[in-house]
Amino acid sequence: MKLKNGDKEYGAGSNQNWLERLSKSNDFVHEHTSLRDDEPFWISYYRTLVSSDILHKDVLPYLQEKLPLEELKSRIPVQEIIFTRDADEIIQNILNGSLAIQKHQYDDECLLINIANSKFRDVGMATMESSTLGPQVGFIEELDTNINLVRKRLPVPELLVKEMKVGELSKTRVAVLYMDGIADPENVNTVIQRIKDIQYDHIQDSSYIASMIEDNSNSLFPQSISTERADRVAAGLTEGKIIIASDGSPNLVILPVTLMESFIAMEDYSYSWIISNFFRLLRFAAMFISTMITPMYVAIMTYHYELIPARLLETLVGSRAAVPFAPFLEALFLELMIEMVKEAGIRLPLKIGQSLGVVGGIVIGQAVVEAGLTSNVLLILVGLGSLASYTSPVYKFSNTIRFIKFPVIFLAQWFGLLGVFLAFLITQIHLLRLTSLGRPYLSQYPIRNTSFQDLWVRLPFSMQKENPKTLRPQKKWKSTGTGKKTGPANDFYE
Amino acid sequence: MMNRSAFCLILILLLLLSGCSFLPTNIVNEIDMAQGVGYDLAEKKNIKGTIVFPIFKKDKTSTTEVRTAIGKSSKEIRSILNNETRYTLVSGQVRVALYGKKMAKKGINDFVDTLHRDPAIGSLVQMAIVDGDSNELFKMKKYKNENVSIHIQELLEQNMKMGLLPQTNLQSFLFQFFQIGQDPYLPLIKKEKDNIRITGMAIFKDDQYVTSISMEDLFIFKALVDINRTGLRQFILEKHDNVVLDTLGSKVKYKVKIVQGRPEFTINLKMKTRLHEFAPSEKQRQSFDKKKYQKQVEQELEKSAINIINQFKKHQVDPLGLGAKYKEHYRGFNEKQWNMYYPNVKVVVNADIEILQTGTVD
Amino acid sequence: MQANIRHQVSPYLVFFIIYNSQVGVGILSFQRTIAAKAGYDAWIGVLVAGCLVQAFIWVMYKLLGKTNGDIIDVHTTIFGNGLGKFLSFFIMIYYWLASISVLIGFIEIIQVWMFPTMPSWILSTIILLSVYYCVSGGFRVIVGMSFLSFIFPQILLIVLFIFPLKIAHFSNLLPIMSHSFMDLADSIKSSMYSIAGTEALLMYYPFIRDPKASKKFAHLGVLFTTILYTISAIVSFTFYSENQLKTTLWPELSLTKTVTLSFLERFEYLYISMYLIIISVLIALFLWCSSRGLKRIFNRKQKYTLLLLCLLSIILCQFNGSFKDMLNKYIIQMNLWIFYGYIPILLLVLTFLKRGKQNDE
Repeated sequence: MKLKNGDKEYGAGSNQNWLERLSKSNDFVHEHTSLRDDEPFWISYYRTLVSSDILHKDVLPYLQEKLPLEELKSRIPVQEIIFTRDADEIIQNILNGSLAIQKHQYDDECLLINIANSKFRDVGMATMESSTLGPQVGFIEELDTNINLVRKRLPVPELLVKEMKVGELSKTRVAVLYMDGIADPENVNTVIQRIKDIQYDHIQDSSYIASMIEDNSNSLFPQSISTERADRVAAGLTEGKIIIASDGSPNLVILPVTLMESFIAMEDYSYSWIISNFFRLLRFAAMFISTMITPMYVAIMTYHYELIPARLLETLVGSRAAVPFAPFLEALFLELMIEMVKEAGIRLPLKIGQSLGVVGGIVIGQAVVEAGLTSNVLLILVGLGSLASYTSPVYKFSNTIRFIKFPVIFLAQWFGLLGVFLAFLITQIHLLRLTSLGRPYLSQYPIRNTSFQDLWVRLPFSMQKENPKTLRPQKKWKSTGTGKKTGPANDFYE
Repeated sequence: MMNRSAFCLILILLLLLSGCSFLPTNIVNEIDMAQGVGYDLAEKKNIKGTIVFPIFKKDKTSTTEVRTAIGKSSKEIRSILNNETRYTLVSGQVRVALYGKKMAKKGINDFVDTLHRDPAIGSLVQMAIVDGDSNELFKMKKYKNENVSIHIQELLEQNMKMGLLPQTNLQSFLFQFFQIGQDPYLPLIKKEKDNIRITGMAIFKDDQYVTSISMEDLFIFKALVDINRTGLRQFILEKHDNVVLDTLGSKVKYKVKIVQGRPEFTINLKMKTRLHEFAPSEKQRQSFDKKKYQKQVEQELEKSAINIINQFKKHQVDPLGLGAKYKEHYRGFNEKQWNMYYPNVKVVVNADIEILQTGTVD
Repeated sequence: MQANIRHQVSPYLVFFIIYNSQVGVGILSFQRTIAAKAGYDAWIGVLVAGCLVQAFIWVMYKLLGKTNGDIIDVHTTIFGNGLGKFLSFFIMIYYWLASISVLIGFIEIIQVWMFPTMPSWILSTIILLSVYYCVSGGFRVIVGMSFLSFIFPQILLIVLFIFPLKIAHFSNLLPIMSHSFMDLADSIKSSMYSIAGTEALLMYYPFIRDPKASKKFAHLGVLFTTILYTISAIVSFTFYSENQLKTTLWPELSLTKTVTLSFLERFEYLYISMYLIIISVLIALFLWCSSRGLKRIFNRKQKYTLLLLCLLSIILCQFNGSFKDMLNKYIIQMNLWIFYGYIPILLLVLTFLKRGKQNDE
C-alpha cells in the first residue's frame, strides 16, 4: 500500500502491542476469565461489536476447561475461528467483531472467534425500483445477504465472487460477481484492477466505486447501472455483465451498460412483448420530451414566432400576454421551482414530503400563473417534462435527464432552434465518445442484430436467441430452443 | 486541465455576453404579428396599404387591429405603420394578402415579390383580389373580434377543399406567373352588405388583372385546372329539368395535336358525380333516367367550357396553361408564335359524366 | 500503413461515410445551378454524374488497394518521400477548403433565413467547436455521427418530400431531352461538385476493417446519394416552374415552406436547425482527413494541425460575398482536376510501376 508523505497508516499496526492500541477506546474489553493471573485465558473484544448472546452461551463455557488453544478451536461451536500470531490480522478481526483469546496476557498467538453482532434490516421490497409485476425483493445493506439473493437465482458454480477490501479507513468489503465462461475475462480483469487501484479513505456505497472506476468521470451520463433488484442483477450476469457489490450498500452496480438499458425495466419481461415494446419506446420518447420541450418553447417564443400555427397563436400568445419576463427567464424560473419542489420532497421526512408534492405542484403553480409570472402553457409543458423525466427505470439516469435540460435552455436562448439542435449534436457526439468499460455506450451504433432482440425492442422470448454482442460474451447463445410449443393446435394446423 | 476549464469559462462568458446582445429577439408578446395585408390604389400613383394584426389579452378573446397608410412601396407602408404600433410589426405570420381590383389591373408583381423574397413568409399564404377596396373589407365591424384575416383565409381554404374554388396560394400564383405558357388566377372576393363572399375567379395576364369568371363557370373551370375535388353545380337542362350534381372525382387530360404546324387541343374531362337534387319539370314523381341526363349534362358542360375558353382567348389569357402543354409536347416551342396562334387555336372539349349514385332514392 | 484494428470500422459503415461525405449544403441549392443551362433535363445530368462517381470509387479502390494505405502512401511509393508529401499537401488543402466552403454556405443560409444579424464568427466558432469535439473522439466517432445523422435527421427530411409531391406538376419534366448535349454536359459538371465528397475515401481507406468487402457498400452509398439527389432535383422541378426555380436561391428550403402540420406551421426553421447536424459531421469528416494528412506530412500531433485548421477556418469565414464565390469556383476546378484527372492518371502510373517492378524481378 502506497501512502502519501506524512500520512500515518491507519487501521493496521505493525507493532506487537496491539492490545495497547486498542484499549484506548472505552468500548474495548480486555478481561481475564479465571481468578489467578497466570492461568488462562485472556479475552479481548469490542463490546459494541460482538453478540453477547453467543459470547456467553457458546464461548465462555468452553473457556472454563483451560484447554490449549488448538483444542479450543475444534471445540467451540462457532464457524469462523482463526489461529494466528499476526498483529495486523488480530486488529483487523477484532475490529470486525471477533473475540481474541490468549493464553497469557502477553502471548503472541491468539485465537480469533468471529462472534460479530450484525444488525441489519430484513430483506424487503425494492423501494426505488418498485414494480407491480415480477419479483419484489430488494437488496439490503449486508453484502452476504445480497450475494445470497443472487446465488439463489443462479445456483451454478460458474457464478464467481471475488472479494476485496477497499478504503483505507472504512476497509469496506467489495465483491465482484461474474459468470465464469460468459463474462469477458478482459472486462473482469479491468474491473478488479481498477477496484484494487482505488485509494480513498472510505467507501460508503457501491456508487462510490462505480464513479471511481467509470471510464469518464466527467460525464453526465452514468456509465453503470445501480440497482436494488436481484432479478436485474441475475439477468445481467447471464448476459456476461459484471456486478460490483459493496458491504453496507443496498445497491449493486452493473457494468458495462449501454444507454438504452436505462430504459429497460425488469417489468418489461412480465408483459406481452408488444406491450412492453410500447412502454420501452414510450420511455425513450419521454427522454426527448423531457429534455427538449422547454428549450423548444424558449426558442420558438423568443425567436421563431413563424412556427406557431394560427390556431395555436391565441392560446400561446394570450397566455403569455401579461408575463413581464422573457420566455427564457420564465422557463428557467419555473423549471428551477419544479426542481426545488422535487428536491425538497426527497429531502423532507416522508410524511411531510408527500404533502409538499401536492402543495408545490398545485398551489404554487396555480398561484404563479394567476399572478401572471408565467404562462399556463409553459406550466403544462414543464409539468409534462418533469413527469417524463421520471419514466426511466434507472434513477441515476432520470437525474441526468433532469439536469441536462438546463444547458439546453441556455443554448435555446442564445441560438434559438439552432441551439436546441446544437445541444442535440453535442450530446450525440458525447455519447458516441463515451465508453463503459471500453465498450461503446451508445447502443445505436454500431448496429448489432442483438440490439433488435432485446435492447431497442423486446422480441418474444423465442426470438431472443443471442447474448448482446457489445459485451463480447464468451457464450453466444441465450436460447437454443426452436420456440415450438407442444400441445393441441386448432383444426387449421392439424 | 486548469487551462481547459479556464478556456471553457471564457468561452461561456463570451457567448453569454455576445450571443444575447447580438441576436435581436422576437418575443411573441412583444411583436405585432401582421396576419393580413391589403393593397389598394390611392391617388397620385400612391398605394394604400392595410395591415391587420391581432392583439392578444390574457383570458380574453383577441381583437383585431387594422392600420392603414399611404406610401409608394409595401415596405415603406410597413415602416410608416411601424410608427404607430405599440410593438414592432413583423410579417412572419401573414396568412392572407388581398389586392384591390383597381390595383390588380396595374399589376401586383412588386407586392408579390416582397412576399416571395421574405424568408419569414410562408408559401401557403392565401391571395385574393377584392372587388372593391381591400381596406374596407378588413375594416368591417363584424370581424373586429373575430380576426378577419384568419376568417378570410379559412373561407378561401374551405372553398378550395370542399367548394368550387381551385387550389391557389402564393406558391401556385408564383408557379403560374413564372410558367411559360400559363397565366395565374386568384379568387375574387367582395364585401356584400355585412358579409365577405367569393364572387368568382380573377384571371391575370402576367401580373395584371384582366378578366374574371363568374361562380357559375367555376365548376367547369375547377374541373379543367384541378384534380379530384368536390363541388356542387346545378344544371338547368332542357324543359327546365333541374339537376344538381356533386363531384366525387374528376380527371382531365389535355391532348395536343400539331396540325399544319399549329397546335390543336382536345380536352377530355372525366367526371364521377352523385345526384344531389332532382326536380323534373313535370310535377309528378318520376324515376331518374341516368343515361338521358348524363348526356344532357355533358353537353351543358362542354358548352360552358367552350364559353370560358373563348372568353380567355378573347382576352389573350391562358389560365388553363394550354401554352405550357403545347410546350411539353412540341420541342420547337416559341412563345411569340404561340401568342399569335392562341386567339384562334382550336380547342375541343369532350366531357364524360358518370352519375354513380343517386342518393338513397331512385 | 494500416491503422490499428481498434480504430477501424466495419465495412458496411462505409455506406454511411460515403453518404455523409456527399450530402452537404449543396443539396439545398444545386437544383438551381444544374438547371441553369440544361433546364428541366438536368436530372439526367445528376444520374450521369452519379455514374461517374461510381467509376471514381472504382478507381480509388484500385489505387488504394495497391498500396493498402492512404493517398500519402500512394504518393510516397510513386514519387518518393519529399515530392510525395508535397503533392499530398495540395490534397489536404483541398479537403480543408472544401470544409470551409460547406461552412460558409451554411452560415450564409442561417444568416439569410434565421438570424440576419448573427456574426459569422459566432456561428463558425460554435460549429467548429463541436467539430473539434467530434474529431478528437477519433475516426469511429465521426463514423458514428455519420450513421446517426443518417437516421436522424436525414430519413426524416426525405420523408418530407411527400408534402411538395402533393402539388407536383410532373408534366414540367416534359419534353425529356430537349436540350443539347453541351447543356447537359454543363449540368453534369455542376452536379459533379454537388455530389463530390467521396474523395475523402483517399484518407480513411486504411481505417476500413475489410476494404475489399467495403467496396460494395461504397458503391451502394453512391447509388443512394445519386438517387437522393435525383429525387430532390425532380421534386424541385415538378414543384417550381422553370423561371421560378431560376429566381430561387435555395429551392430545397423553399420547398419545405409548404410543410404544415397542425402543431407546426412552418418547417424550414427546423429543417435548417437539423441540418446543423449533417453539416457538422461533414465538416468533421473533411477536417479529420485534412488534419490527419497534415499530421502525417509534417509529423505533428493531429491535435495541433486540427486546431490550426479550425482557427484558420474561423478567420476565413469572416470573409463573405466575393470570397465565397471565388472559393467555390476554385474548389470546383480543384475537385474536377485533382480527382477526375489526376487520380486516374496516378492509377495508371502506379499500375505501370508495379508491372515494371514485377518484370525486373
